[in-house]
Amino acid sequence: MRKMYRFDNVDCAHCAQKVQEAIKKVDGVRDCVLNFLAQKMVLEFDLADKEKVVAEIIKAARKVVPDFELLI
Amino acid sequence: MKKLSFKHRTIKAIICLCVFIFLLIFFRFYKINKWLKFSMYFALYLIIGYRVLIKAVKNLIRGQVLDENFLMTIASIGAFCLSDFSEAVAVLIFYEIGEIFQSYAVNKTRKSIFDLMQTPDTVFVERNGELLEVDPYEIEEGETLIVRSGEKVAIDGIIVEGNAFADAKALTGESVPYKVSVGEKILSGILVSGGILKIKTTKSFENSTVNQICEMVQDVSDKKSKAEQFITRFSKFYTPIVLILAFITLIIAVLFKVSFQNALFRSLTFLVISCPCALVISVPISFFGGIASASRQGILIKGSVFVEKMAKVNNYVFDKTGTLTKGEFKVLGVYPSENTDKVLSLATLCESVSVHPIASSIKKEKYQIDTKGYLFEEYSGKGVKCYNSTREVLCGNIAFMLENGVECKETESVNTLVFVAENKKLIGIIEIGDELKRESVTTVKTLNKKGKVSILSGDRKKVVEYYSKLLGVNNYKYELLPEEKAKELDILLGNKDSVVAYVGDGINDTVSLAKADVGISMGISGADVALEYSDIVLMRDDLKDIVKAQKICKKTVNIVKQNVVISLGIKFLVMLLSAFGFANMWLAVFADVGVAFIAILNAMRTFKKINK
Repeated sequence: MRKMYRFDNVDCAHCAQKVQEAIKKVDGVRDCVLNFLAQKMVLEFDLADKEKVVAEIIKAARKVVPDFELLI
Repeated sequence: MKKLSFKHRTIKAIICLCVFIFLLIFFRFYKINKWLKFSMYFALYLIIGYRVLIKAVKNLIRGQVLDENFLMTIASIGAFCLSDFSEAVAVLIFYEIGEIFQSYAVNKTRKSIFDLMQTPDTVFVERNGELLEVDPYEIEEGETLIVRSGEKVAIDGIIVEGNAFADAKALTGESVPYKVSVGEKILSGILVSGGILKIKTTKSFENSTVNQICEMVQDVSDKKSKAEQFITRFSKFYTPIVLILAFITLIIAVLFKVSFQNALFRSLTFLVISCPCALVISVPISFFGGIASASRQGILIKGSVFVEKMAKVNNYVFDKTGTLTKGEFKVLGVYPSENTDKVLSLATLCESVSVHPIASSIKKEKYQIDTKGYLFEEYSGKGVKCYNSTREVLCGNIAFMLENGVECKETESVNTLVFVAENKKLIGIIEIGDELKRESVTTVKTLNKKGKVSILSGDRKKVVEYYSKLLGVNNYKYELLPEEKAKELDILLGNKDSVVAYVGDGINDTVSLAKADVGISMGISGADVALEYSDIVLMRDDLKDIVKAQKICKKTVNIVKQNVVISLGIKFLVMLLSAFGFANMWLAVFADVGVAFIAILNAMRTFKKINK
């Protein structure tokens, strides 16, 4: 299942790459494509429990960029 | 940590820079106690650099050792230990200045897309006779929108009341006001003037043109451009490799009997160079800037990968009808003329179910017909069959006639011909005229100089030959069914060196648009479905924009290449100098920040409008 999310506070291209890699490693995420200039990302989910995966994604992203915010 | 406003950061940085320069000059002329000197520099260091230091510690705890904050911290602390106080402070001051500039560039880039696309936060609707101000996202299909003079239409719809002037400047980049009135379609993003319009919405806000355009242009494309793939892979390896080099430098320097202090200094300098910032940020900014600039000129490019491809296009394949020609058909005449009425009424009956432009032109003749009791079958690229228990009417091209057992002959006409037969007997031929678009000849002439131009059409040989000669095109194929068009495209795509752009208006084009390296469609007259499958949309329906689009893409790609060469080149140079002891931290930081500066400024050149 694919869904697009908007996010904020990622202003460095290098950080954006690291965030993308970190999110890809989260359990339940099949793929993640991130565009930091547009502040959007498309996620492809593996599992049905989206809520839990989203929480993990935010956690993983914040390890790289502490101020990362997902706009729902 | 509290986020400092952009302005605050800049002011603070400038003040610190001034204090720093002052201290430099001061300490040159006045001998001061070492510890006093240290504490003054250290104080400045903390003031400008505390965010970097805190981030370094925070990220280290999370396991990020290769974080640039951490590396800068080590480099500067190392400098302090070596008594190079001014170097340590310089590193953090210039790093901060670099970060500020980077932030500024990112913000400006993001805003560039929204300039003309701004839609209001609230719009007026009429519900149950009441005028309400609501959030556009809440409005459903079928609601009545009120748009006053000076306001932009927020949602696609049809005008149900009022007269005014419409300006599609936000969509096409050109300000050409035109009259609109009841019954006409109106797109979101259009600026209304000289009146009030009541519009019945045909879509939701999210699906309306302006929003779709914004989304399209900011597409999170699955396919990253080659340049972006390169920097992704590059930056993964860059930092670790530079660190290894730093270590190697240290060891080699010690082996060559260089003083430990000196050797350490050189390695620390490497740490400062280990941030790939300049390169990594300039590439996305360049592409985004190019795409934003194009959209302001009425050209929508759906992603950076298409900017790269469009820059390399050397094969231009055109659909004829509706792309090179206006697609506004007109009935020119009927042969034999005695049968005009019968022929046209039979044709009107047949084409009553078709939405093809040819059908529209026949229907414009306004013959009254009764479709009761008839069954219809439409054959794409051929014609329409209409029949009941006593009668069969066929309306279509010569291939359609021959297939169905109607005897007929080709004629010398250079216009589109519609043959009409009743019960397998040819009753007459309708001659339908179309016109070349004003800019077709000049555009094809220009493109012929840049590469190969071809025309693929489903129309008759005589027509296609005629138009091709007018345009100066030698490669043309006629009487093609949609599947055959796609096959022809496959042949062109098979050639390794050709990068093929297909230009169409969407009717029977989607396969070709999708297959081509770059699919280009018309925005205003093109079918909705074509917009989905194409990679570049010409909002002005102007073929000259193909040339313009290619110019913008070439310029953007050039700027990206320049930035890659400049950033890598200068970094390697400084690394070499550092390894041999000819560079100090000043130079390293300057090189880093300076290069980022240059790369970003260069990238922002893509924002500028191309003037021709």
